[in-house]
Amino acid sequence: MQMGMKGTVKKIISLLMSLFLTSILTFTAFQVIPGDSALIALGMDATEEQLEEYREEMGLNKSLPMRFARWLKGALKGDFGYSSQYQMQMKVSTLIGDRLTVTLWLAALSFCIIVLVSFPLGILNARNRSGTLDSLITLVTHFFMAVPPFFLGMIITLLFGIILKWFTPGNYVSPEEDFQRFLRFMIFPAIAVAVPKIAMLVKLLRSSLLREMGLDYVRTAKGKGMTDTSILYRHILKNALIPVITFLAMILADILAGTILVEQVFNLPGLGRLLVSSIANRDYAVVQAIVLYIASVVIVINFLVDLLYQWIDPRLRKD
Amino acid sequence: MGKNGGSTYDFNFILGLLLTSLVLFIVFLGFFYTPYDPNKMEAALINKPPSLSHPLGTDNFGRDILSRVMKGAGTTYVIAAAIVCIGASLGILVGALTGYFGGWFDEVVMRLNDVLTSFPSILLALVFVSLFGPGSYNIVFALGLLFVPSYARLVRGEFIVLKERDFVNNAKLMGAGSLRIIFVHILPNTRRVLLPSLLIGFNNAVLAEAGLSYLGLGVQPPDASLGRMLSEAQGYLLDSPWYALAPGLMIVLTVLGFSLVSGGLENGQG
Repeated sequence: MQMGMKGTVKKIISLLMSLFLTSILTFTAFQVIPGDSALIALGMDATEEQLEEYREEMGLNKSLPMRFARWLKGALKGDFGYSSQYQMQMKVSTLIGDRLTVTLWLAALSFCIIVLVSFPLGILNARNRSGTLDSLITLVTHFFMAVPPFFLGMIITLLFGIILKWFTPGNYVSPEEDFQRFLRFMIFPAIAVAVPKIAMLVKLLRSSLLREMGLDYVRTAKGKGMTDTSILYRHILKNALIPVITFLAMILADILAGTILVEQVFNLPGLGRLLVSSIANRDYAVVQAIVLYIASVVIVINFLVDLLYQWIDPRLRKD
Repeated sequence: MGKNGGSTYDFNFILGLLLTSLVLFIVFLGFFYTPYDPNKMEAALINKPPSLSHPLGTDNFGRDILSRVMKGAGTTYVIAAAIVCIGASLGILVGALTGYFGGWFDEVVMRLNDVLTSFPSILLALVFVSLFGPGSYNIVFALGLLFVPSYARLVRGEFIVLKERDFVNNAKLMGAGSLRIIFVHILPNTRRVLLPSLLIGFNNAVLAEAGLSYLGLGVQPPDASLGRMLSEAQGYLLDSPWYALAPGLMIVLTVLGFSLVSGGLENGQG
C-alpha cells in the first residue's frame, strides 16, 4: 500500500512536469514568428507612442521568461488574452468556451459509439476462431482504417443527408436551442469519427481475447467445470481488457484530432474549426490556447489511465 | 492462427499487391500521360456526370476529374514519399545511435520523444503550418519531422535486442568499428520490422497530406492533390457527388493496398 502511494505521488509529479514542459513548448514555439506583434495588433498606421503603450501593456518589452510567466499565470486562470481575427475585441477564453461544448460532445458521442459497438462485436468474433473469419476481419479492418474520417463524413452526408434525408447537411442546432435535434444531428459526425476506430478495436479485442483463451488458467477453470461463457466473462475479459484500455486512451487523442477535420465537413462550430480559421487568420493567441488545451487534455487522460491500470491489475502496483 | 491462418492471409496479401500495383500504375501513367490537361477549364463542361469522354465526370470548372485524380494522386504520393524519406532516415539514425550506445544521450532523446508523441500529430502539423505558413514544402518538412519519433523508437528497440547477439560480438572481435557494426551488421537485420513500417508510414503520410490539404493548409490551388480535390468537391456534394468520390476512393484504395501488403509482410509473406 505504501509503495502504491509513493508511486502515485511520483506519477503526479511527472504529470505536472509534462504539463509544464508542454506549456513551455507551446509558448516558445510561437516566439519564432517574425514581425512585431504590436504592429500586427494595431495596424500599420499606429503611432510610435501607441505602439510603445501597447508593448508596455502586453509586457512585450520584458524578457522571454518574464513573458512566459505572465502568459502562464493568465493561462492558469483561463485568461489567454484577446483574439485578433474578429472586428470586436474578443476574449480568447470566451471564444474557446463556446466551441468547447460542441467538440466535447462530439468526442464523447464517438467514444460511446466506439465502445458500444466494438465490445459486442469483438467478443462475438472471439468465440468463433477460424482462419477464414480472421482474414475477413483483417480485410474489413484494413478497409475501414483506410477511409479518412473526413471522406467518411462526406459519404455520410451524401448518403444520409442528401439521399435518405435523415438530417439536413449544414443545419446545426445548438444544444441550448433544442437538445434532441442537436443529438440527432451530432450522431452523424460522431459516426464518421468512430468507424475507423471501431474496426481497430474489434481486431484488438479479438486477438487479445484469443491470446488469453490459450493460457493455463483458462484450462484450470475449465477443468474445475466452469462453462465457457462464465470463464469468458469472469476471467478472460478482465485480463484481456488491459491492452484495450491502453488503446482506448491512445484513441482519445485521435478522436480529438479527428474532430478537427470532421467538424469542417459537417460545419460544426467546434474547437477544430476555430483552430483552422485562427491559423488561416494568423490569430496566434487562439492557436496557442487551443494547442495547450488539447495537449493538456491528452496528458491528463494518459495520467488517469495509468492510475486505472494499477487499480485493474494489482501486479503493476509493486513498482 | 497458425498454419490455417497463414494460408488465408495469402488472399489479403495478394489483394493488397493487386491494389498497390493498380494505384501505382495509375500514378506513374499520370506522370507522362493524362487524357486531358488536368488544369484546363472548360465552361461548357461544368459539373458533368461521368460519360464516355470523361469517365469520372468533370468538376466545377469543367476540368476532367480522371486527369486530375491521376495528377493529384501523383502529387500526394510524391509528398508522402518525401515525408517518409525524411522521417525514416532521421528516425533510423537517431534510433540506431541511441539504441546502440544508450547512456544519457539515449535518455534525453527518448524523453523528448515521449513529449512529442503525447501530442496528436495533426495538432503538431497544424502548429507548424501556422508558424511557417501553408504550402507543400512546409508540410513535407513538418510531417517529415513528426514521423521521426516513431521510426526512432522502432529502430532503437531492434538495436537494443540485436546488439547483444553473437554476430555483433563476432564482428567486434574481428575489429569492426562501431559505425560499421551499426550500419553494415545490425541495420540490415532490422528490415523485417522496418519494411512494413515504411509502408504504414507512407499510408499515414498520404492521410496526413489529404487532411491538411483538405483544410486548405497543404497543396495550394490550382495544383491538384487528393486532399485538395476533396476540399473543392465538398461544396458540390449535392449537385455532383462523383467529384468527391473519385479522389476519396483513390485514397481508400491506396491506403488499403499498402496496409494489406504491410500486414502480409509482417506475417512473413513475400
